[in-house]
Amino acid sequence: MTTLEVHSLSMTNFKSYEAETYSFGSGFQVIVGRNGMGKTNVLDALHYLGLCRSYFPLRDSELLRHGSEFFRLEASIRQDGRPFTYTAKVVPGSRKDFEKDKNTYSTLAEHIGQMPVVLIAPNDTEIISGFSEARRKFMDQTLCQVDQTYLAHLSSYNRLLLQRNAYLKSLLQGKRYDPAVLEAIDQQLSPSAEYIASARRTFVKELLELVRVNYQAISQAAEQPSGIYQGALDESNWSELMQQNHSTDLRMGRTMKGLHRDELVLTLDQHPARRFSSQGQLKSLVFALKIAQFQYTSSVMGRIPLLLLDDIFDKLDQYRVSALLTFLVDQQVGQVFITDTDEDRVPEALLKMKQAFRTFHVHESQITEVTTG
Amino acid sequence: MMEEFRKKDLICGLAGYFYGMNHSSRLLQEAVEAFSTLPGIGRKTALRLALHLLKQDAEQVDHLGDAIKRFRRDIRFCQTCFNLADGPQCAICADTHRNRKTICVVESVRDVMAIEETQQYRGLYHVLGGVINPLDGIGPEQLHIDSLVGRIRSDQPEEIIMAISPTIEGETTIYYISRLMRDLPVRISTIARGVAFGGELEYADEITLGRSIMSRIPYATNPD
Repeated sequence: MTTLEVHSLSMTNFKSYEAETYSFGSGFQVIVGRNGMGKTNVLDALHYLGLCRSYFPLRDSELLRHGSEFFRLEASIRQDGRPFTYTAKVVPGSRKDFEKDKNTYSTLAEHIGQMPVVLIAPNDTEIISGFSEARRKFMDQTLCQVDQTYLAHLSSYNRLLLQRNAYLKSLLQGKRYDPAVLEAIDQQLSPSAEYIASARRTFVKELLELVRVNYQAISQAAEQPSGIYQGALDESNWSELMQQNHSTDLRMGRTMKGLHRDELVLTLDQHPARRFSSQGQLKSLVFALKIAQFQYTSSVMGRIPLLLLDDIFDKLDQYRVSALLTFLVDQQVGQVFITDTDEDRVPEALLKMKQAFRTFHVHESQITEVTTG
Repeated sequence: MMEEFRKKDLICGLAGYFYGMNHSSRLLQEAVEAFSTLPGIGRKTALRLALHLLKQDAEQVDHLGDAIKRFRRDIRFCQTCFNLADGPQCAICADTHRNRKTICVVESVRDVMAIEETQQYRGLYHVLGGVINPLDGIGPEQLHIDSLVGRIRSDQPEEIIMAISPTIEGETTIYYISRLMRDLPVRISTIARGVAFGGELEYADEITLGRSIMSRIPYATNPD
């Protein structure tokens, strides 16, 4: 297992940061400061460098510092014992280049997976309580990072589905129906759909094993989390499915069944977690799920991702904070970035656990390292 | 504050001058505007071209103008293959020395030129005029597909070579056409896809490299 460590991060015109460079060390990097001071933006910058997009549903133009036309992010990294530099140069709406050691990738897909990251944020509860789209996104994000072939199939699937729907819609508007066009689109959709469905199925099986163990360790409760993947291709292959829904698709003018409707049902003691969880159960389950994502990513890539924890200790008492951190330390983590509004509780807990850490204070997008005795 | 305003006015004035707001002649302005409608030509280049024409003989400039007018007015599409032509048939279809047993199917006239440039192909062409792309409102009926089928029925070639870009829309088009020809006695092939000649393996993307491995070809020690 190799580790990944960010030594320095430069942000230019990114969100609240005009032009700043910060250095980090090994182990835990604790970033403290009041709300709205720019803590999360540091984590999002690292996420952007890893996955070519913000963790939040923001477009590139919304990541620009007010009044600027481009932003640039750069991280100096030590990975597998060697130094690397990853750079993102973005002019929203016209250019988006990623570089590895000053060499521009020909496609962004080539970069995804090079610098693995997993970010955990308070709104991750959406994965459990939100619509099925949030759960599909969770599966896709995990799989795209560890499997380039999955990423390629997913982007073909999405493009072909757009073409399919555009064709069906044009029929409603009176275009002459030619079955061979749908057949030509479907025979290409088929291998991508089969690959995605089978990858998701295997992933969910492995993920749920990890979630079960994590949940027990975190919540120390008796209830058992479980789940099941309900996919469009569970019982038929793509062409059968499209045959079955042929007339409905023609009538509705879009593709009614497919992977874009798949669901990952999570349960606690056989009850859908989406409806029956208490706030405490919800928090524990989300954390168990996200840590499982981190563990899965580590084991498939053979490389420990950066772990970015955004404000997840909010409203937890010192005992729960220590318990979560102890759990984390047991998980073979590499470099971990933690943001918190409380200046002392995470450093205090880490000190007690004799963990290496550094503390940074953020005030109005200025970061200063807090020297600890 | 005042000084800043003046600076701004001056810059706007200069920009206006260079970008064609205030030419001393309306004729010049029209010429510049006409040139700058062409792709890749901005106002500055348009001005340079217009001023260059002033240095040339009137006769030369007439010739240029006539060539442009005649080109636009008289150019035809070949009735057989839809390549550019001067009459009902293009020079390639009219050339009796070309192999009439193969038809190479391409998206656009530019692809014909690219393949001709290689001097490796002596058969005929068929220009589709695009690929099937419902998102852009292009279905088979917008393309020259019916005429291709007609050609195959009447001329009975031995082989159809699909020289279409290996994009998602290109693949849809290749499948669609192949399906139409399922019952016709013609061999269908596609151009090889894989690692670029002179390219290095480690720089090839995964999809290309994976496909190159899957569709590898026998190695001949005495290639003809």
